[in-house]
Amino acid sequence: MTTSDVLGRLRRGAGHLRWFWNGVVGADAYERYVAHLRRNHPDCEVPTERQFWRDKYEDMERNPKTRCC
Amino acid sequence: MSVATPVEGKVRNDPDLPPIAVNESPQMTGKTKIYLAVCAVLAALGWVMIALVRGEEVNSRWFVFAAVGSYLIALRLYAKYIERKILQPDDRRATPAEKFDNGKDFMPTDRRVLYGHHFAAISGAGPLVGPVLAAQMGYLPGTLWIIFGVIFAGAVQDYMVLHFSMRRNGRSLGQMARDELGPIGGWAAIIGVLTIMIILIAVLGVVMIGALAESSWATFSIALTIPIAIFMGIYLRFLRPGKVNEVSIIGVILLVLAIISGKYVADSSFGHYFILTPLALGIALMIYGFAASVLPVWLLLAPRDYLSTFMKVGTIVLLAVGIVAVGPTVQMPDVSAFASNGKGPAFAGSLFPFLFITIACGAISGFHALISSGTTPKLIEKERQARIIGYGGMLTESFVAIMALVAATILDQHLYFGMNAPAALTGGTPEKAAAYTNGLNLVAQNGTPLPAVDPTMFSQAAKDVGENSIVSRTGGAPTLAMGMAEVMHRVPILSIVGNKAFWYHFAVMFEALFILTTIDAGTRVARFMFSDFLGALGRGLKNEGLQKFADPSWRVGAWLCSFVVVLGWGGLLIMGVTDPLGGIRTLFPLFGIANQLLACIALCVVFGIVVRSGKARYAWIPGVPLVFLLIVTQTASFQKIFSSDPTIGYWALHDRAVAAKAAGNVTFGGAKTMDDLDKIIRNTVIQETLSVLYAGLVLIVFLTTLWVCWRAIQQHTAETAESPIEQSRIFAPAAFVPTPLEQEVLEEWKAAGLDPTPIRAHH
Repeated sequence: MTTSDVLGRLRRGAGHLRWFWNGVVGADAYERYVAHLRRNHPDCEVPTERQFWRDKYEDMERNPKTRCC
Repeated sequence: MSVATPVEGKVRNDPDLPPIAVNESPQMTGKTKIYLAVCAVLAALGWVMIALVRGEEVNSRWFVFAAVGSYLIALRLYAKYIERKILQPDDRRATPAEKFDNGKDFMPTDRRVLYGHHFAAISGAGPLVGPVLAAQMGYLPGTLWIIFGVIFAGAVQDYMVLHFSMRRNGRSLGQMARDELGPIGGWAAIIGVLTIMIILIAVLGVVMIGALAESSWATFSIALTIPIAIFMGIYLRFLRPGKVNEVSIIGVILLVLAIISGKYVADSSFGHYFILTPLALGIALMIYGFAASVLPVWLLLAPRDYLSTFMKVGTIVLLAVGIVAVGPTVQMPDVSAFASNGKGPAFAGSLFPFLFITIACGAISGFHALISSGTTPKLIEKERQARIIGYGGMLTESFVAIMALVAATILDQHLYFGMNAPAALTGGTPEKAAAYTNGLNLVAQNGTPLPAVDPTMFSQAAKDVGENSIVSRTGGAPTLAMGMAEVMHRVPILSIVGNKAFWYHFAVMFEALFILTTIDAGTRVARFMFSDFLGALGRGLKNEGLQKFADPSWRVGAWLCSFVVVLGWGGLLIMGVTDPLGGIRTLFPLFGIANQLLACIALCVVFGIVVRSGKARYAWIPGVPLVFLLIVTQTASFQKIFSSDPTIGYWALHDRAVAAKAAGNVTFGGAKTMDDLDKIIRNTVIQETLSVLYAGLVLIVFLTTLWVCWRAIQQHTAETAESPIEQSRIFAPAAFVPTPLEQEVLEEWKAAGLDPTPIRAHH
């Protein structure tokens, strides 16, 4: 295995870890929502990232999620 | 009802799409057999070392072996058995996430990500505190209950609730109770959930105050988390929206700085401003709870939640690595004298039923049913994934409990009992504490008496962690922090980051963050439940004023409901922290009972569904844990109400306190003044009322369940409130690693140029 192979593997590993972590904390919510709109509602207007997060927190205001003890 | 035919192969429901499900052969492959054999050897080795081999000190690594080995076997065998016999998931059916995909709260989510997400939502301070208190009975009873309890009760509950909620469009536990058990059972369940939540918040608050009281270092650094969270909220709203990881890393760095600076603040001339009494901290916590539940989510709650997730996952991983790397020796005996004599200082009562009450989360936690219904089922891609997410997620939580138990049992026994006995027993000073623990006749694992300790042991231990005193720091959190600090400061790389004092305060911070997050979120959820309840009551009574509460955007109503909820838990909290006999000792059993009763409600709902859907033959699967927990909780409630021993029974204590007051004897028990006596008299009445209320509510739910089941059996009907079937159009493997057959299907999707599931936004 060459050094570039190892580096490539490390980079892919780090990419997977980042993808996993973003999913767990919900950091990828905007990207996923945009992907969802493009796929299912191509004519819908895509909100800006700022607007999306405002709406998301607005939503959390109305539908609180519990955390466990 | 359609049951997937157990023929091996790929299943299509649309000729234009690659397969959307697989039928695996029920026969185990050679690989699986080898895997199970390795797990069995691992588990057997662990169990032999901790349960059978005597005369030598037990290394804590064996606990990891026994736990992980047993979990993996249970996940493969028992969870699969439940899957095959009762739940019968069908991957041809679209899950709510697929049906209602809106890119937000309903959305197919990768199984590995969802597992992490679910775990982050179910894990909290509960599994960390209970095992620490239970360690007073020795390491073996707690270990057995945590591991076997999760396999046969806790994980079963979480898995089944998740599955049934998923089949009902992600309905909540309360809604399912109403659908399946009818209005009476449903209402009792809803009132039960609401009141139980209030007691949970109160007890967690008492635990946190136990770690902060009289400690300027801890109080200062925890107080700083509020401005840090607000800063993160503003950053996310105005500066860089959506950069969650970036801001969380900044937040964690600020947290570490807060911990480090805490030491200097504590040593400074103004450090004494942060030494607060438990009462002052209780009032501060109430004000905070109210503010957090009415302030906008983005300002405080959401950023704190990110911070807490980071700390939670990070610290748990660090602790696991630390225990495996350091392998500290367990100091506690396997079974201590307190297991049978019921006179333990951390909590009173004998092993049965009180061990099963004290370790609630970690073995079985009713609270999880609220997450497993409602939140997670709206995100799951395929029905068969519920096993690793529901059952597997709970196994991970149980592992956290095992680590907490290890952290407590590796401490010197004198130190453990000196920290966990209330001040009424230890006298609060190193001299009296040493005299107290020396008088406990503690024995080592081989049965020889432990040598007596000098008071300097307690003052030195306090100095090592940068505290003024560690005597009677009850509540479990300080003990856990002590155990974690003991492990962390011996791990090579972590020891460079900080000394024992740093890791102690890091651990306190980590627990306090959990608890504050639960208080924030719990108050808000309880407020919504309360206003929903009032609104529904208004509809029932045709009262327009009450009906207005159903509208969540009505600010006055929101404020009023928040106020009532905070007053509810705040009252209990103040009662706990000012209790002359030590709040944890009196309130923790109530917390455990409440949580286990919630589990009873969840298991009742599950049991009812199983019987009503015509699978009464397998109703023992939720039935056995249900009956066991009912016996445990009702026995505990009965003892708490009727026991003539004043350390256990509320009435007995109440009567003696009244008699002592009448006789003018103010030095009764832990009381020192007439005021203390009045507190005991009042607190016992409140605790008594709550015990009777909870036990009664659960009995109502249980009896309605039996009635509903009996009727279903009489009428030979198989009816459920499942939502109609819709065909799935996506594919994803069931477990973390795809099977060869699943791999083939994934290749087919790839060859067709299609995404098997819309889970990846980028990549």
